[in-house]
Amino acid sequence: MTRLLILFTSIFLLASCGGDPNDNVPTQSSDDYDRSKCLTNIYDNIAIPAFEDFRIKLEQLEQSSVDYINNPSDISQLNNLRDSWYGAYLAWQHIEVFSHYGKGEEILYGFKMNTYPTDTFRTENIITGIAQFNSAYTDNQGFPALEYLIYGIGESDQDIINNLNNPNTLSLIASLIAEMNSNTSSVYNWWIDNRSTIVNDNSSTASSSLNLLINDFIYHYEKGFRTNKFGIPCGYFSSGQTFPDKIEGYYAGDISKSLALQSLNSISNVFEGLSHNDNNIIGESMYTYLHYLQEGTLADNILTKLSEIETSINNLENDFASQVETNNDELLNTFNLIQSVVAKLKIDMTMAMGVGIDYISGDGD
Amino acid sequence: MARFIFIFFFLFSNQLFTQNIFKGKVISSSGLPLKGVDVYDKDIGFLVKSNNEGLFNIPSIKKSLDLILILDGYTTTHINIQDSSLQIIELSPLLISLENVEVVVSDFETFNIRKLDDIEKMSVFSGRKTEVIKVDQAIASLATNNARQIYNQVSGLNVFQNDDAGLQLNIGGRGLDPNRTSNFNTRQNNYDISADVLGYPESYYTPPVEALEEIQIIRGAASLQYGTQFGGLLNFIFKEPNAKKTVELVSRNSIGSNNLFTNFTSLSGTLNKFSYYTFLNYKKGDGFRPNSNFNSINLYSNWKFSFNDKLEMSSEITYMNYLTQQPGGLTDKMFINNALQSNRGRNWFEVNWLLFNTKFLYKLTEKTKLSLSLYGLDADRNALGYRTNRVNQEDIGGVRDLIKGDFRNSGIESKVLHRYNLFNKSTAFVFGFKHYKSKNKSSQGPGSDSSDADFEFYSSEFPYYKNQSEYNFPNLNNSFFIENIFYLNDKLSITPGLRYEFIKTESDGYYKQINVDAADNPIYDTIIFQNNLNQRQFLLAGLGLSFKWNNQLENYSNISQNYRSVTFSDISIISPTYSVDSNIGDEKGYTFDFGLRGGINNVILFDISTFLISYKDRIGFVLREFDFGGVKSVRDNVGDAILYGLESMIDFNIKEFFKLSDQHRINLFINISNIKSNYIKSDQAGIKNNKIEYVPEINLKTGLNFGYKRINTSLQFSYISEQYSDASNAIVGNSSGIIGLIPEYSILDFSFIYKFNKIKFETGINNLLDCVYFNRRAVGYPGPGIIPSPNRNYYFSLEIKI
Repeated sequence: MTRLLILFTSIFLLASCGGDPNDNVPTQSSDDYDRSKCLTNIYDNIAIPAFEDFRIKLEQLEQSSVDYINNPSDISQLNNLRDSWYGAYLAWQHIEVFSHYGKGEEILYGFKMNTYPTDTFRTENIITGIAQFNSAYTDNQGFPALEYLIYGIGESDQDIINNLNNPNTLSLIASLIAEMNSNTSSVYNWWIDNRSTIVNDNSSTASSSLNLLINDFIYHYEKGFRTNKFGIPCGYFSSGQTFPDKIEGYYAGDISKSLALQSLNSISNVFEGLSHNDNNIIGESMYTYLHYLQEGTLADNILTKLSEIETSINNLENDFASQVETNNDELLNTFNLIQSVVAKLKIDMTMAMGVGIDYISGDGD
Repeated sequence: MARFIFIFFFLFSNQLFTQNIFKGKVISSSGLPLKGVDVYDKDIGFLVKSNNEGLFNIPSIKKSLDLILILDGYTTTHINIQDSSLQIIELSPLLISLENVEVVVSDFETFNIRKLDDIEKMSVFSGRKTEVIKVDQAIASLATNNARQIYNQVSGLNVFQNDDAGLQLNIGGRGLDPNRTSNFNTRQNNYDISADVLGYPESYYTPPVEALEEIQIIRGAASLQYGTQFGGLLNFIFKEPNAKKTVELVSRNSIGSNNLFTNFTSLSGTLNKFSYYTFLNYKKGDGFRPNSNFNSINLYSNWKFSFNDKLEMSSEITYMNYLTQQPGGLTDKMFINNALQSNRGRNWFEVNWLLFNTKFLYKLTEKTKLSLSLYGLDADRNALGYRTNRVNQEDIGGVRDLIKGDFRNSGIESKVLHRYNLFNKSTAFVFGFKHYKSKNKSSQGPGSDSSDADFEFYSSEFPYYKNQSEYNFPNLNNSFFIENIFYLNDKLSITPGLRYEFIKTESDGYYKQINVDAADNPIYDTIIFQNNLNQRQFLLAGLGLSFKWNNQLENYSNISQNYRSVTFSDISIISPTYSVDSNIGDEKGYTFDFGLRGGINNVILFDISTFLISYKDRIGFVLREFDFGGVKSVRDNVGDAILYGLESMIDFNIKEFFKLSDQHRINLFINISNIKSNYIKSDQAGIKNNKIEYVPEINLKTGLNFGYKRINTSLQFSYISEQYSDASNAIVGNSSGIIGLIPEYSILDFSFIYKFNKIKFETGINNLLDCVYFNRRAVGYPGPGIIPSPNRNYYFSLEIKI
């Protein structure tokens, strides 16, 4: 009896509430590929240099905006602001592919920086003082909202200067850039603080670094690149009804092609493992991972398609809006070419790597 | 498997012992048969209960038996039986009620759990793993339906512990998903109570344990006589009307943490040939998190009329309504910061459940009984809320998602139990059929943008709301089944069975395809009509074996085929990003059990068994390429899995061991299961060879029940090892908290009962050590995200019986 009671009491004494999930060493992936090598290359040679580049461009944008706000009737200061905006927008194209990862996902970074078409109605309400700037509205901030102010609120440059020159508008410019800056800093700092967690994760579960990164990569390819830049304007998702006004950089005019090419360049870099600063330096990537898995044909096939897409984009007009209106079939052809890679990435590549897709595309294709 | 059965036969078939069958009939002083009389052997302990005719049979190798017969309200009677002729035993009514006797004998039985007899009521259970919870023996938080305590002696149950006052029961056995108990065929008084047995097997309603006599659980091998689910049968048996009084009133009032208040009031009685049992159960409380108040009412009425000795009719009606606010899920980070927080204030859930049943029990002859059960359900469940996957994002208002389900079904189930002699051995078969028809409806669309529990669609206000669909789901199921016990000798019985199923599952409806631009402005919308007919028929087979070494020890084994029908959600497309493979089929497999159970001289009661579930053609999503390079998630049969393990339940009667007086009751039970699981095939990326989600390898419940005179207490310790919540076996939680490890946890519960005459006082503390834990990561409702479990909470109940 006593012995039993002792046994029983000791069971209870051993009772503690529970374990800590962090005690667990992540399991090894199903294949022997060193995933952390691939993560290290993407982190050190692609993501971080792209962020550093982008942060410099954002600083320039901020400086130009301060200069302009101090001289709101100076057309050269406006043009200076526009140039900085464009430079930062090009650099952003290399960030967007990482913008839904980690902290970025948490704070809706990608959506806050580049949701277009921007909500001009709400912007007008802010200008007239009916509404206040609110960072919860993703389509009322970032590059497109700023673009509308510096290109879209007047017919001529003089109109724009006149319209911009009121306290609400000028303070909106400052608020937009401050929001872009603070979001970027918070995401960048998260990347810096979490290098070892991101890079040293060799596991292949749904919440492992590489699985998440590959998911975000394919999501960006499918949504940010294919659907937003090409699919929606060319009418693929609206049964043929075209939307030239829904292109990226609509108010600025002839920049949509350059932005798209930068975006494709960033996609190729990540897929192939090319260093952001020097495309001649090649490291571990999805491309080499596929080769490791004896899927070299698939890897090369994707690469060939990406270069065909580049050629096809190069043949388009600088301004996609004008392309839609003059010869939309060309844009549709480019879209179809981009589309032909989706299944290769989303099905063939992920099956080979054992990466489950964790998002729903939601665009009804 | 074949080799195994061969060994089984080889080992046991030659062992013929001469065995006597002792027979008795228990009657009252007026000569009426007394059923439910507990028959104890002086040496061995509890043997059987007398059946409806007051009869009992005891096979034994002994020459004579010393028996003790016990029935509440009657004097305990000793009898010695020497031969196999039928003994007529008369029990005289107890004139002095027990409460007035000087020495208070603990009125708790020796053990809290029993197994079902080979043949009980209208069913054959020989060779099955069965577990019956004697609810009136539980020392637990009954007012809150605390499943962790009530089901503590049932092997390997995983319980979601997030629901206040037990409005919903979420239990799963043998590594099967506990969500809304959908892997069990759930019944009350033997008829179905889930939303739709095949198409939507979720249990939104389960009866309050305060009204229950027993909870019967039969594992996977229940498939032939009951449902086909892998989990088996879960059958709630309500209390019988008080046979000795015209009116008996039981009133229970409970209060507890977070403003919990519950009332349970029942009336029961017998008037000549008419008897009744009826109750009202009301529950309300604020919940252990913000935004989680609830309010529930449950009414039940049962009338029974015995026309004569042969024909009995009973009718019952059950109604339940509840409204709960849903506090939503958490991310891992939020859980660590404050496990009980909530950032969802506009999420609501409502259930209306109405059940009818009329049953006829007809005794054709002494050996043949017929039952006919007609039942129906009219129910709905509505879920409203802001349920984004961005769990940590504050709710900034706007349109809410509304999903409404309407369920209407009716069924007839009839059974014949016939006992007969075959080669001089008494044997029995049960034969039956079931016809089940349902017409259900499910719709999803925009709910209001305010914050109240308004379950109306606001389609004209939000025409471009993304998730809009409406489907009708007619369902038809006909089945026949037969099982027969064959006694090969006095020890060995074999029970083969067959079940034929015809199923027609249909879906007919539409979904809206609304395409938007990057800023969510609609650019295209259309309605897409869909219909799907899935008709099939097949035969399921099963075999049970039982070898009774003696009255105390039995080996049992069985193998049965199971299937899980395609559900309505499996075959309906509610969004354009999904598709359903045209060849999608039922999930199929089988369950195998092998075990040893019995007791040793009333000191130990045990059931130790191994099981294997082969679960094939599990339904899931795979990505496939469609025309023009598009990729969709397609629902199809994508993989095979197996689950196997050891289940062991041992109850030590310490009082008996130390020969303490009957004023004591000391029991120590250890209920442990060790379950392994594995995906052995998968078309999905990165799943093969992984473990199945929600399968804790170790599931331990152990406790000490201590009683002395009028006091009874229980102290229970539960330990559940870590579980994965997704098939990729993710450890780190993702941004929404939907996937990631569920860490191990240990919980201590304490309950206390003091009974004095007609008054019973119950109190207890659940989660005594105030552990912060969770055991569920919800994909959608009621989350998404981590659904935390309650912190330390207490209850007080007062029962008055008049």
